[in-house]
Amino acid sequence: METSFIAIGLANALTPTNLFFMTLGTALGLVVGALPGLSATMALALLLPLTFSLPPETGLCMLASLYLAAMYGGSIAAILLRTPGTPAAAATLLDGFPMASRGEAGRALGISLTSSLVGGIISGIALLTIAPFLGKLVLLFGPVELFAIAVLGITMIGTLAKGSPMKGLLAGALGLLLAMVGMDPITGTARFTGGNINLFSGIPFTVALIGLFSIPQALALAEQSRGKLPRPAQISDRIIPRLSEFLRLLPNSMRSAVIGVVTGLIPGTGGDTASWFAYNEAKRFAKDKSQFGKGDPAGVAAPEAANNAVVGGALVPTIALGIPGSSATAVLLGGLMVHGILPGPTLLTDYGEVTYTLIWAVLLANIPLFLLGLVFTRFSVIVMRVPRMAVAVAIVVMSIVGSFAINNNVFDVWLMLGFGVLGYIFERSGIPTAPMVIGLVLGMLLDVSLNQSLLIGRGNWGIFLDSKISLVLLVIAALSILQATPFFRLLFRRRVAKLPVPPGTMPGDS
Amino acid sequence: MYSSIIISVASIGLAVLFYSQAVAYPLAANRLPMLLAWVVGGLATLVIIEELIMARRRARAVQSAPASDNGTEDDDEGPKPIVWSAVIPFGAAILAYVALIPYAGYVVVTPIFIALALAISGTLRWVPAILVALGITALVWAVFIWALYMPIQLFPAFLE
Repeated sequence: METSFIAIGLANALTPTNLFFMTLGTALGLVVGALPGLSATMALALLLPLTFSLPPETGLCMLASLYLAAMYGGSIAAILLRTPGTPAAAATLLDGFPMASRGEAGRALGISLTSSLVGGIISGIALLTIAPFLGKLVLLFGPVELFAIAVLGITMIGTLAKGSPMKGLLAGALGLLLAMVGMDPITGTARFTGGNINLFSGIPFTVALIGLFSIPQALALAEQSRGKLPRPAQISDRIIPRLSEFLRLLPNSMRSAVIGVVTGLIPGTGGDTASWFAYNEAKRFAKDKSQFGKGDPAGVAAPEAANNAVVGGALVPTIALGIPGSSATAVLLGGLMVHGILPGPTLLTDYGEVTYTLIWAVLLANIPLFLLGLVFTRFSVIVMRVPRMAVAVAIVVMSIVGSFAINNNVFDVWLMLGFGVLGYIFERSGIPTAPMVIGLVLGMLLDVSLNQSLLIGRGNWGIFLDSKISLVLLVIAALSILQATPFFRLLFRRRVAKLPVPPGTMPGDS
Repeated sequence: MYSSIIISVASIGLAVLFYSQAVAYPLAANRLPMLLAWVVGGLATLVIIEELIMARRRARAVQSAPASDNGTEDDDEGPKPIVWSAVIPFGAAILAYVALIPYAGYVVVTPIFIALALAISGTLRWVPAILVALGITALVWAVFIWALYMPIQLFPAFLE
C-alpha cells in the first residue's frame, strides 16, 4: 500500500501541470526571499487562497516549492544587501556580504545555491524515509495519545518560540481558545459566536493566517518606506562554483543539512536556529577559524544547506503526526485543510496520494530551484530595487482579495484585518505569532481527542496516565512548561550558584 | 512592557468571557474551553508577573549603572518604536479601502488606494504611481477574478 502511494505520489508530482506550478512556486519563492522584510510564511499564507481552485496536490506542489525557494532567496539579499531576506538567512550575511564586498558576490551566491540544493535533496530524502516510518508508528495511536501529542506540540512550540517562553505559551493557549469558536464537533453547540452566523463554522484558519502574517509585514514595510533603499552589491563574477570548490564544501554542506533536518524535526525551531547551529559547527570543524566572519565560503555553505534542509525536517511531524512544527508548515497544513483533509495520522493513509505528492514535491522542487536560481540570481538586483511601499500595497490588496476569496464574504476580510492588527501588536510586544497559528490548527484535534478519550475512560481523566506513550509525552510537555517558568530558572540559578566555579570561567575572566 | 501587560490583561478578559459563556454549554462542549480559559488566565498572569520583575530589574540596573554610561550600553534591543506617522495613515487607508469595495467596486477602489498610498508616501510621483496601481490591480484581477472566478464587487453598485 505504502509503496503504491510512493509511486502514485511520484507520478502525480511529475505531471506537466504540477511541474509547471512547482516552477511557478519556485519563481515566486525566489522573488519573495530576495525582498528583505518578506517571509516565506507570509507568501505561503497569501498564496493559500490561490490553491482553492487547484487540485490539492497541485496547490501543495506550488506551496512546497515556494517554501524551499524562499529559503535560498533569503540569502540573495543577505549577500548583496547585508540584510537577510528571511530570518533563516541571518547567519549567511556574516561571510556572504564580506565575499560580495571583495567582488565575489557571484561566487558567494553560487555556493549558497549549491549548498541549498544539497540541503534540499537531503531533506527531501529524509522526509521520504522518516515520515512514513513515523506515520506507521502513529497508526497505533488512539485519541489518548493524539491528545498528548497535540499538547506536547503546542507546549514545545510555545516554549521554543523566540523571546519569552511564557509569552509563547500564552500565544499558543490563545490560539487554542480562539479555535473553540464555532460549532462544537460532538454536540453541535454553537460556541462563542455571539450569534454571528459567519462564526458558526469557526474562525477560518486561512483568514487568520493571512491576517497574522501579511498585515504586520505590510505595516512594517510602510514604516520603512521613508528610508532610502540600500544599494545592492553588483554580481560581476561567475555564479556556478568550480567542481573542486563544490567538492571541498560538500562535507560541510552535508553535515549542515543533517543539522537542518534534525533541527526541523523539533517543533518550534526553524531555519534561523538551524542556520546558526550549522554555522557554529562549520566554524568548530574548520581548520582555519580566523577566516569566519571575513568571507569564508564555508560560512555561506553551512547556514544555506541547513535552512533548506529544515523544510523536510519540519514537514516530518506535520505529515506523520499532523502537528505542524513551524508557522510555515502550519500554512502547508492549511493547504490540506482547505480541501477538507484534516491533520492527523490519516494523512499518510487515507490521503496518501496527496501527502506523498507533497513529499515528492519537496524533493523535486530542488531541480527548478537550481535552474531558476542560476538565472534569477543575476537579475535579483532589479527585484531589490522595488520600493517598500509598492510591496506593502501589493500585500494589502492580495490579503484583502485572498481573504474574500475563501468564502466570498466581506466579514472574512474584516476578520483578517482584526487578526492583522493583533499580529502587529503581538510583534511589537515581543509575543510570537507562530504558537497562536499552531493553536488555531490544533484546537479542533485537541477538542475531539479529549472528548473521545474521556468517553473511552468514562469521564476519568486518569486515562491519560494509563497509556505509557501518553504519560511520557505529557511529562515532557509538563517539563517544557516548567522550564519556561521563572520558578524553574530561579531554582536552576541557585543550583548553579552552589557549584564550585573553576578559575578562568567567570565572565570577564578572559 | 506596557503592550505585553495590556495584551495579558485583555487575554484574562477574554478568558473570563469565554469561561462565563462556556458554563451554559453541555459538558462535552464546555470541557476544553473552560480548561483553556483557566490556562490562558494563568499564563497571562505569569506574563504580567514576568514583565513586572523584568521592569524592576531594568530599573535597578539603570540605578546601579555609572552616570557616564547614559544607557548607551544597553544591549536589550527590544522592538523598534512604531512610526505612527506611517502606520496611522496607511492603516486608515486600508480600512477605507475595505469599507468602500462593496459600494464602489474593486476596479475603482484598488487603483485609487494604491496610487494614493504610493504618491502621498513620496515613494513615487503621480504618473508612475498611477501606472503601478493599474499594473497591480490588473495582476490581482487576472489571478483572482479572471482565473479563479472570484465573485467580488467589480464596479460601483449602481453600474451593475
